[in-house]
Order: sequence, then structure tokens, then C-alpha cells
Amino acid sequence: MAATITSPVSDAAAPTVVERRVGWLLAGTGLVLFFLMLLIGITMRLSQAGLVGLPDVWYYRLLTLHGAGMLVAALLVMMGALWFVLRPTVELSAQRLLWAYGSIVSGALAVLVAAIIGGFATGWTFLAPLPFHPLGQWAPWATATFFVGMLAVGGGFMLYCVELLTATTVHYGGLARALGVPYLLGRSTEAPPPHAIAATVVALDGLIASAGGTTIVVALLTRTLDSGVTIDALWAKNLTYFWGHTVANLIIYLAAGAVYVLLPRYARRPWKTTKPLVAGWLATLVFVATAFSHHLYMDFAQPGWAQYVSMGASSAAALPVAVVTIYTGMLLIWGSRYRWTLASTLLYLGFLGWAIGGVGAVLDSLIPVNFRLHNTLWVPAHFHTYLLLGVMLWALAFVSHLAERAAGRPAPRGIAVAVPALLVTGGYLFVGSWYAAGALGVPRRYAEHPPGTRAYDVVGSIGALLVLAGFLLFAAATLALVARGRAEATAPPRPAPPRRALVPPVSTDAGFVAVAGLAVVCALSLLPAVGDLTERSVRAHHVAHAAQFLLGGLLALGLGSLLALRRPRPAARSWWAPAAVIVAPALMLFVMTPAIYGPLERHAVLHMLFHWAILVLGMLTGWASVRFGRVAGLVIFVLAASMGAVFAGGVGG
Amino acid sequence: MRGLTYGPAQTWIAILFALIVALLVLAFIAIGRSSRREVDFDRVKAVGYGVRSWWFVGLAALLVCGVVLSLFQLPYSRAGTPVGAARTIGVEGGQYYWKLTRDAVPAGHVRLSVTSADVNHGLGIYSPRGELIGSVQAMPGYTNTLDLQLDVPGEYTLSCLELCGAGHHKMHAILKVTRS
Repeated sequence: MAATITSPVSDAAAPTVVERRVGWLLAGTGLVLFFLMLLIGITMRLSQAGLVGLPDVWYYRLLTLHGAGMLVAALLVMMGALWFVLRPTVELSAQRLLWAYGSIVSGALAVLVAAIIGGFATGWTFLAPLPFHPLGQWAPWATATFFVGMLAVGGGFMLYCVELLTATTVHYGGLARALGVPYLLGRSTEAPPPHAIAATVVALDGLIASAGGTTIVVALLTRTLDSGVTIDALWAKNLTYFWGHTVANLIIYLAAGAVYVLLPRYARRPWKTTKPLVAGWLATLVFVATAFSHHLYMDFAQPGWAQYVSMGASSAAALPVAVVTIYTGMLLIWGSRYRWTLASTLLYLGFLGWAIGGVGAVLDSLIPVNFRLHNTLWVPAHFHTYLLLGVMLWALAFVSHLAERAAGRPAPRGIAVAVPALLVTGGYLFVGSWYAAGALGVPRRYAEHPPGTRAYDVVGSIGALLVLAGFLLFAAATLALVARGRAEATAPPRPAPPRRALVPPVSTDAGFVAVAGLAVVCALSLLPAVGDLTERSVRAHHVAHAAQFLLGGLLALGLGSLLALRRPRPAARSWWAPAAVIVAPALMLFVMTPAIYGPLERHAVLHMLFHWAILVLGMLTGWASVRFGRVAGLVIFVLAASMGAVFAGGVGG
Repeated sequence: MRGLTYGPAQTWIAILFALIVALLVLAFIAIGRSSRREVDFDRVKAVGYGVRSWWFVGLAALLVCGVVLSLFQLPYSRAGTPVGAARTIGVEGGQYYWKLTRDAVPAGHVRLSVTSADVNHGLGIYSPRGELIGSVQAMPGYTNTLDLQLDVPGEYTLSCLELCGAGHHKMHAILKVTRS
């Protein structure tokens, strides 16, 4: 029998003071935001039902805010929940989590200002070129504020992913081990616990998606500042959904990681790492990163292979969810004398929301079905099912778990029944009305629905109000539980684990040869003849900039790795390295605004300095990447370098 | 926009979905009820892991069938077929209008060449009865070609299905299909 590592089951796994505070901070902020966005959502629903008067312009502003805000709310709670359960296992920095938190909250505030004061109303998907065709509804400052806000949200999530990936890959000694691959192949009897594998997958996909997100958002920011910039609409749509869909999808996988630890505490059975679980998460790693193109099924200009890959990935993504996570969760509960409390009931019901929403999603992921349901209310129906009735139920479960621990007792029996009953009854009425209306062909994102469909809106509104009632009862009960509770026992601060010396991103002779060879190729971009060639088009010019960034990065990466091999150092603890790998590539893209570099090119010295600045940004990225070790450092560097090339592919002028 | 009716395809999709949801709810009720008693976990695993193999094979087979069948029903599969000029309609979306190169077309095979003058739009085509026949995106800089079989004469409603601004929900046009 192969040895396995299990999630902590008993309450003995008490959190430290820091973990408890951080858990509450992220969960609390997320739920406050959730409450505000819930009110906005209900207002929109009541408006569609004709029960309140909301001007069309305001409907679309609120829609934009609601979409972005809800995703941030769910993201915050689940980032906190996974961090909370993972920290006893691997070394995670509370300080860097707080930076990520600060960045995300600042970004959310910027989006709020852009939508409410600035009137920005493109939906959270901001499909280019809509942000630049406001027809008098919003000003350029609102567009810029929105994109800066999205950058801050994305940057915060990137920081979180960098932290997770560095922590798990350093702790388990490489990416394959952090994913449990040697265990799957029978080469090892040990594997990371399920939540560590989930964290690694989320972090890796999160970073890949964030590279795409940073590229598109900075591109749109440059277009905001310089109306001469042209952006290919299909390129923009691909990147927008590659980022938006993937991150939204990853929220549920973040949640699943936390559930791996929380559920066993109520079922009193361990959630073990098994070979199907490892295989399932490896499949998820691929499927989540390749499913986004189903948003472009009705863009016939999209290459056919992308549509077919997406249809396969979107359907197949159901397999690991249904066969591994949900099925195993149900096995843990079956005949377990499950401890039914408010938290555990919400945990259980969250599985149902994920399952039902998943069915709605898989059906819609088939191209002929999507042809008849694309952008109807079926779409928000399915993602509200797994976000509201899946992720948010798990978010409330996490908070009530914290509250139950703080109080030393569960919520009263009546509350444990009434809250889930209100949330589930209201939630399914709400999404059910959308499924029915979607099948009828009612378009999504309409301020006013077609005639004859008011009944659906009224039923949906009643459902949404029941959800609100359930949430308010939950909030009151949770606050009462915490207020009357005894002081929670906490674990002493965890002793810092032995600090392992990092293996740098480049550590072999072959690696150094590859870096040197690639650097020579990139250095060609500095030759005057090549420079003259690249002056012929903006895109070619941008490719040259990307090559110079890569050149600087390679030089620093190689030198930094060499030094790290000579004098081994532990993982990055400084503030500058995470900031550098996020900000420097974004800045490199940003200065590729023709309005910025155009005037500089008329002065030889300034022109040279500009190219040196790009080189230096690359060096900064390469140098900082070394501080994250072989896996995370290389992933970060490759993604940062690829952003320049991707940018050049879609931005002209 | 006119009143809507459930299309036959959407009706079957909704029925299939409702059936699966009903099965899931029953399964969750059964699992919830089972949790009141205690069953040895080794026994649960022994039976559960055996069932899981079949669950995996069954679900994978269903998904493969769904994907393969879909490949024979793609909306873009017929776009290469030649169509006469009289049956081809250029459709340009703009904030907040649809501009058609012709307002009427004889019943039968119709080709829509769809693009946009400004932002992304979505062209949803509703039959005279109000059934959503299908949709295609209108994207600036690109032309998407959609072939449809419009055999029923009458007024088809074209509605925007991609958020394009504050007048999004008011962006409709009529295409008349006459007897051929």
C-alpha cells in the first residue's frame, strides 16, 4: 500500500493568530463586497422585472461593477481560504498576501470609481474597441481608471500565484513533485496533500492567464492614452477571455483546494492524495488553460483548431471535477455520520451547485448548442450556479467554519437549517428563471427584456431577495456567534522551516549555453541595420523592443543564476523581487506606446536611452526571477518575456 | 423586440438539463440521508472506487459522444458552399443599428456576411415565431459568414447579442423572407 499524505482532519490543526486574522480579513472583505454587489445585482433584476426604475445608462454601469466586483469578492475569500489551509503545510508569507490583498482592493476601488463616477459601462469583459466608443457615456479618464484598476486586481492575483508556486515547488523540490507526478508514475511513495497540488495548479494557470491579462490591459491602456494605437479586435477578444475566463474558472479550483481540508473536519475521514486525484489535477491544469475559446465560438474568424480544442477541453474539464473531486467528496460523506453544522451544510450544498452549474456549462460548450444559447440568459445562469450556489456557499462555509472555531460551538440548529434553506431556495429560483429564459432566447445583458418575459424576471427577483434574506441571516448569526464565543485557542507562531537553498532557473551547462545563444540572437535587434528594418512597421518595431527586453532578461538571468550557484541563497524574502517581476514587464509593454517613444526617437540620445531602459527592465525581471528558484523563476521569466511578443502580435498604430 | 417562443432545439436542451439536474438532486438527497448512519469507510471505498471506474468510463463516453456528434452540426461547416448574390446579405452592425444590403430575401438558403462598423456586436436571428435560430458575432475588421436555411416566410428579427453600449437592448432590425 503506497504511503500517502493526508489533509489535516482534526481540530488540533489550530491556526496561528496571523492565519486567523488573515483568514478573517480576506473573507470579511470579500463578503462585504459580495453583499454590496448582491444589492446591485438585485437592483438590476428588479429593474428588469419592472419593479424599480433604473435608467438604461445606470443599468450598464451597475452591470460592469457587479461583474467585476463579484469576481473580486469570490477571489478574495477563496484566496484567503486556500492560504489559510495551505500555510500549515508550506511556508507562505502573510506580508506578501497582504500586498496582494492591498493591490486587489485598490483595484476594486478604482473600478468602482470608474463605473459609478466615471460612468464606465462596457461590462467587466471590456471587449475592445468598446471602451473607446463611449458615445458620450464616459470620459477617457474613466477608461484609464478602469484599466489601472484591472491591472491592480490582476497584479495582486499574480503576486498571490507567485507566492503559491514558489512555496510549493521549493517545499516539494520541483514542479513535478509539487504536482505529485513521481507518485503517479510509481517512482515515489509520497505525494503532496491534495490542497498543495490544487494550489500548484491554480498558481501555474493563474500566472499563465495573468501574463495574457497584463498584455491586453496594458495594450488597452496605451490605446486610451494614444488614439493612434490600433488593436486587433480578435486578438483582444482572445486575450481578454484567456485571462477573464481562466481566472474566473480558477476561483472554483481555489475553493476546491480549501474544501479538501475543510470537508474532512466534518466527515472525520481523510482526503488522501491518490493517483486519480493527481491525474485529475494534471488534466485540469491543461483543460483550464485551453477552454477559454468557447467564448469565441460565434466568431467564425477564429481558427477552427482553437474552437475544437476548446470544445474538447471545456467538455473534458468535467471529468476530473465529476470523477475525482465531487465523487470523492461524496464518498467521504457517505455513511460518515457527517457532523451537520451551518458550515458543513453549506460545504455539502456547494458541491451540488458546482455539479449543476457544470452540467449547464458542458451543454453550452458544445458548439451546436452554443449556437442557440450564445449570450442568452443561459450563460449567466450556469456561471451563477457554480459561483453563487457553489463558490459563494463554500465562501460562507469557510466563514462559518472560522466562526464556529472562534465560538467553540456551531451555530444554532435553526440557523443551520434556515440559512441554507433560504440561500438554496432563493438561489435556484433565481438561476432557474435564467435557465428557462435563456432557453427561450432572452439575451443576457439587456437593460430591458423582450415583451412577454416579465414572469421570469419576477420569479428571478423573488429568488434574489430570498438569497439576500439568507445572507443577512447568515451575517447576523455569524456575528452573534463570534461576539458570544470564547477566545479561540490558537497555535503558537509556526517555527520557520529550514530555509532551503534555491536551485536557480539556469543551473546546467546546457541551460547556460541556451541562454547565451538566445541572447546573441536577441542582440541582433540592436544592430543598426536590423533597427532600420524594424522601423518599417509598428509591429516589427515592437518585436524589436520585445527582443531587447528579452536580451536584458537573459543576461541578468544567466548572471544571477551563476552567482546563485556559487553562493546559494534561499527563496526571495524581499519586497522588490515580487514587485519587479510584475511591474517591470508591464512597464515594458506600457512604454511601447507610440505617443511615448515617438518623440524620443527624434533625438539620438533619448532614443538610445529609451532602448537601454527597455533592456534594463528586462534585466530587472531576469535578476528578480532568480530569487524564485528553478520552477517559479523560470515560469515567471518565460511568461514575462513572451508578453512582449504577444503584444507585438496585436498592437499596431 | 417581439415576443419569444421556445425553439425545438432549446426545448430538448432544457429537458435534458432538467433530467440531469433531477438525477443530481436525487443523488445528493440519498448521500445526505446516508450520512446519518455509519458505514465502515474501507467498505465505502471498496465499493465506491469500483463504481468510480464505471462512472469515469460512462461519463467519458457520454462526453466523447457529445463532442463527436457536435462536429457534424457545426454552424460554420457550410460556409464554403456557393450561394447566389440574390441570397447573400451583407450585415453591418453599428451603435445601435443593423445595416443590411437588402431587406428581403427569398425563402431557402441564405448567406449572411456579418461585420461591424465600430465595436463588437452579436447578431441573433429570431424566426417569425420568435424562436432563436442561432447567432454570429459582428467584429470590426473581420467578416463572419453564416449560412442559414430560412424556409419559413415572414419577418425575422435581428437583435444584438453582444454588449455594445447603453443602446444595446434597442438594437434590432427586420429581415423579410418572402416565398421563393
